[in-house]
Amino acid sequence: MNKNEFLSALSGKLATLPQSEIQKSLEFYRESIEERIEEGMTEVEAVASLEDLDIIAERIIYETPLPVLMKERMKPKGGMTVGIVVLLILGFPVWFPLLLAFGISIAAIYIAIWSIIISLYAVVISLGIAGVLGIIGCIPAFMNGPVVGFLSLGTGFLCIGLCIIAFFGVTAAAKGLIGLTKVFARGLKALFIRK
Amino acid sequence: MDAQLKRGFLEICVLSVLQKEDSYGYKIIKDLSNFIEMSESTLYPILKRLEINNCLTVYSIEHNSRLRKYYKITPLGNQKIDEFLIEWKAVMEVYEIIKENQKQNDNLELNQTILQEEQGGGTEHE
Repeated sequence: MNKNEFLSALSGKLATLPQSEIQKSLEFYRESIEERIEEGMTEVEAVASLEDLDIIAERIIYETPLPVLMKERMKPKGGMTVGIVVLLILGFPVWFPLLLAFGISIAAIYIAIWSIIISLYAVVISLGIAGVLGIIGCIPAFMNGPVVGFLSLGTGFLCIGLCIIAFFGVTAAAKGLIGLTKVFARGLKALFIRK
Repeated sequence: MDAQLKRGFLEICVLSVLQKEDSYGYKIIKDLSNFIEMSESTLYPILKRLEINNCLTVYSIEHNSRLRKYYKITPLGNQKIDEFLIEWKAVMEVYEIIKENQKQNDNLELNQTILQEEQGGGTEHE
């Protein structure tokens, strides 16, 4: 592959990005190739010494902030004509609720994931509190007789034991869930990248 | 290394190269290669990010009838290096403590194995 073939292939893979971003990336890689040629490599050698085209394109795309990708995806080709502006205004009652629903859905997924994490920790904390109260509570309970007292003490220890075991489980689950939000964010980004 | 940590680390490496003199993409990679391996596809997003965060500025100079893009570190970029050095001084102190603790632990284990071997040897002679 020579320089121009490489650059046009890269340009094709970056088609989802705004034109200015594509230009900047192409300039950077053109310069890299030309520096290598100046050092004595042939054009083909210089291109071959770069990384795989797919890796290069993916790095550039995933480093581009989401708002930039969204703006590019939403932008109509050939700029905004009067007709499109009129349609946008007239269609406001239709697209605005849809956009709102899209935004709220994303927020809802995040809230749902975080709610699970919070509620799991709430279970751990309540087990801990129940345990402590059970142990403290055994003192007045013993006054009502040994059976009630031992029941309270035993339940208290059981709760604390469960609390400790649950804490490690919940922490592992929370890590997994936070990982899930990252996967979700990446998936969301992929939505705005045309393949 | 943790991805987030590595990212910050590489940014400082690039800034450090630029602290010596203004430089261009290919030369930055070559200068970095003395102590860290970095490819173009890694460097490019880093340069972009540093530019967005006002840690460096970009200007072009004509070279062999083409434009070569130079990167220049800003006062904010210099400040980032200062912050890095202060932060890592604290990290290195902790590192030394951890290393010292491990050495003591190793010595302890070594002593125990020597002791066990000596005891084992002693019984053989009998």
